[in-house]
Amino acid sequence: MAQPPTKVILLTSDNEEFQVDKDIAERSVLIKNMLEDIGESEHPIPLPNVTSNVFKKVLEYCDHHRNDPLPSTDDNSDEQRKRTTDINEWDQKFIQVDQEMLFEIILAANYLDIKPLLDVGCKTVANMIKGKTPEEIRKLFNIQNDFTPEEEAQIRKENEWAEDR
Amino acid sequence: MSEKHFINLEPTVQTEIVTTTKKTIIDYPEIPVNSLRSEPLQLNRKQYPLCTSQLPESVASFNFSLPNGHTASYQSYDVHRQRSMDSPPKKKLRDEGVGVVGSSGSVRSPLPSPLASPPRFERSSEWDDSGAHHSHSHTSSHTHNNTLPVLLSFPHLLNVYPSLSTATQSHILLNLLRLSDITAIRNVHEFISPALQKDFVADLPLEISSLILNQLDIDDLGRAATVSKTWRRLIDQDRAAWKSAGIRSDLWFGDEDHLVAQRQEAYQHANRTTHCASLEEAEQDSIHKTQVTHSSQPTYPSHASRTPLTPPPVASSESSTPPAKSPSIWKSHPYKHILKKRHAVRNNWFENEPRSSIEFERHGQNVVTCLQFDSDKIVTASDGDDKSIDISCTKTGRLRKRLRGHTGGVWALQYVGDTLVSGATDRTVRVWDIPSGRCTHVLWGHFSTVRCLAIIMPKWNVSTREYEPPYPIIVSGSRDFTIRIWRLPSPTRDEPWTINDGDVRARDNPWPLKLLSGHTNAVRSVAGDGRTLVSGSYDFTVRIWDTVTGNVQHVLRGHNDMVYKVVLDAPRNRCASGSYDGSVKVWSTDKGEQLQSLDGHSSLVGLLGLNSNSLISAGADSNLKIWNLRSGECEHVLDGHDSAISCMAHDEQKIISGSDGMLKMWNARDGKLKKDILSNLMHIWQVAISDRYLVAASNKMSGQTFINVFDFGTELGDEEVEYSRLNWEPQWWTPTKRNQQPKYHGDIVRPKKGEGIKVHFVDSKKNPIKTIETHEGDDLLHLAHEWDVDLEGACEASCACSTCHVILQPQVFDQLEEPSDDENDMLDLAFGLTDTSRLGCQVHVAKSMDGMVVQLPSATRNMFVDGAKPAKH
Repeated sequence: MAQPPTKVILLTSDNEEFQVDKDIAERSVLIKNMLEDIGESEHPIPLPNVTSNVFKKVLEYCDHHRNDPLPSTDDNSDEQRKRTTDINEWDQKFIQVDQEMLFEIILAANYLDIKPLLDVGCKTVANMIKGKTPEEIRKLFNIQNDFTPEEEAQIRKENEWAEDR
Repeated sequence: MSEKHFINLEPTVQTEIVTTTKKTIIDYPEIPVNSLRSEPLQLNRKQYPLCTSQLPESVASFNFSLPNGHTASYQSYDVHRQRSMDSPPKKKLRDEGVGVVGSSGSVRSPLPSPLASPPRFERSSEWDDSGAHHSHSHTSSHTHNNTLPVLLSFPHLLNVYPSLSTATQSHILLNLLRLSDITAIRNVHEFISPALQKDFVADLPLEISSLILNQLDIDDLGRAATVSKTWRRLIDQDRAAWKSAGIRSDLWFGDEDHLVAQRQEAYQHANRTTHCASLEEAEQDSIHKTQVTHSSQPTYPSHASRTPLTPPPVASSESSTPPAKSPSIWKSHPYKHILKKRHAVRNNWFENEPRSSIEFERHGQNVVTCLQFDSDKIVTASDGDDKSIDISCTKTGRLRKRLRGHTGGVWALQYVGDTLVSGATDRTVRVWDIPSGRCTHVLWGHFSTVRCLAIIMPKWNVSTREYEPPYPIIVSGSRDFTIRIWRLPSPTRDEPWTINDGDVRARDNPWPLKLLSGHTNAVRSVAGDGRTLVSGSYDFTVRIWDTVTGNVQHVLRGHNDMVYKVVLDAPRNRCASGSYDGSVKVWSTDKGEQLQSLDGHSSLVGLLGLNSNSLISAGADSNLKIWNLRSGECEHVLDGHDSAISCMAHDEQKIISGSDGMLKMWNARDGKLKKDILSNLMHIWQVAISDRYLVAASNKMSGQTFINVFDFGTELGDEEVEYSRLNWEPQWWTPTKRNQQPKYHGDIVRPKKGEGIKVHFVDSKKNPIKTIETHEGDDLLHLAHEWDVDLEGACEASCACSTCHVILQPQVFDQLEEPSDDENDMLDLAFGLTDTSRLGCQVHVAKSMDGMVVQLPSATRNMFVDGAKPAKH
């Protein structure tokens, strides 16, 4: 019990080395599988798709959630779909970053296969979209409206059924 | 960085007072701030996200004042942008009509030397001093007067800035920001925030953006689909996102069969929309239309392989070609259409007032015993004196036909297409032609009142490869304890038959098929599907019969009193029965076992309704109950009526119930009362609904019988087409569109060798299968069958399936008449559609086609019988 946790060394794309407790690193299914494949090793594990500043953030998440039960593999049932887009308080605070960072976190969570983090990221973006008008969404994400006025009118008409509740 | 910067000097105005006033305006040439590097910097956009951003107008060009109070402007131009500059600045003299003030200065440059090289002005201290002396007009001139030297030295900093370390860059920037006033900070904010913004949906990999879309509700999806073209494409084709949203909005119900049917409807809707959108182009050229139709073949990739269906946008903005208009090229997923329709229907019924309603008198003061309707007509029957069946117009209520013939009250009725079947206390079953109102067939046999009847349509049995029953049948249940099965006559094709059973000629009666005896009391209710028939009787039993053999399969005992109602859930092999004993029992139709007993009603359960996952029961105890068919639990009690429920209509979303002069609408999902539709009635007899209409038959307090029609439609509801009604009739009675006599096996007379028209059948790889000879006018489907070529034809040449899809040579294709809309619709569903595809049953051989090659497709898709392999008839 008193045994100090095993450390693993991870190397980000910008050549920064991270010494991480194994159980934290294993929140990433990718790293977990790699560790299983290579066994005990002194060599750092390269993570060519993650930069150090994003990885720091990811590690912060993994550290906080190191004792969470692992998510079930079957995550597609209708019941799951019904779930609201609730995010717990710590995660909400954690994910309060600029869009660029959020984007990178989502990509990293996907690459590292950290499902709960990917989930938090996607829900956060979904929550940003919810309840907004198309113009507000464009402004929020800096998107060009590439419809002609006629197209826009037609498309609005096509989709307005979802509006009147 | 590819910008040029200039400092422009305001013209000096020199006024001399002589006898006349002369004003001289001198324009100064612009001073290039030319120390910026001429080579545009090549910066990586990912690392320098703002490197190509343009400065906002107010920052790119602005005014400032010189130490002597002279006004100058700073301007930077994007080199790539059009410069609308004048010709080189020159000195101008202008005469001004009026002038009073003395000269404000001599005609000299405000600068020591405007054309001097910039370094000269870098002696900032000098300018600081002089600025203090010369400024009169500007209050905040102290800072402004530093502007010029700063501006002139700024390019140097800009040049070296990219080479600084990130820390140094940040140090400089942040320190500058600390000293910046709020407007400048706001400018900074607006300038940098786009760089930190991300178009998550468009820029993330598809599988991740789909996860985001999966979190959105229907209204969010609808709005988000109008953000940009990319968003629209991604959202409209995201099957999973619409499904999730549908589940969250409680619009997702029904089993696979139901969905397949709805999906097909949606396909057709999608096709029709495309037809409309491309109508202008298509109308010009009918051949083109065919191609448009074909190209709109619905191929919906799974969300994992979403690919843009549109060509990439053309970059040119104002070229001579008109802008590619129709944004409807990419089509939304059928789920969206399904949800759209369900959402609209729910909204229309629950939230809105009916768009219109009509009310008309019918059937005197009699009980209305039967009610069935569609968007065209309402069919009602009554007990009592008038004994008539009335056909009324759904839109106007006008009486179209009054079907007279029964000599007793009509208690059972059903119509399909234009064929109506009724059963009455006069012990007859009558078949009517609705358009003409004629009774064409009178079926004698029952010894007592015909209390219930059902029309059962043939159903393809995948394992036996046969239609069961082989043709449409009528099942009638009577108070004489028996059930009779009749072949359903066609009022328009079959010889009328009105001969009474007592007549000797009745021995040749072709219509009776089976007599089902076994019940020991009146048969109160029947329900059937394909080969399975369920009957409920006053003898307390429920029986399962085989419609083909007429044999009883199971006798289901369990009720302690008369059975009043049976419903059949054919896909799940189960049925339910409601009884006077207050219970509802669910039975397995194949094993003949009781599955569940749903107890809770305190008296007669006379009305039952089946939904995909639930059963609705309505009792004489004034309650309706919604049962979960998985658990057998009562999920909701619809408590609101004060006396026995007399009628009920329902679909997946709503339940309409009538009792004690009230008609109420409930939400079938949560059991909540939505509204009262009618009140203050003496009796409410019948109610029926469609997606759009509600029709009720009642007695007003005056005693007069009325029919009420409520239209809950919207523009969306107008698209409603009752496919089931459209599709089935031609399948059985209209062999071809051209009103020819039916041709089935053996009908074709083979010509003598060498005398007929040659047709070569080849397989999908163009290997010859068979060469045949035939006469003019025969169609390819029947030719194939006659000569055992493997062409399916599941719908018997009624243009209701795509299984006889063939590919023709272009020259043959061009000779044929345009395919009908029906055929086009079906072709759209065909597998491996080509530009020269047709349905074999619609292609009639002509002499000019001698030697034609008919290519069979690699596979067919049978929409009639999902999963069935092609089979010949």
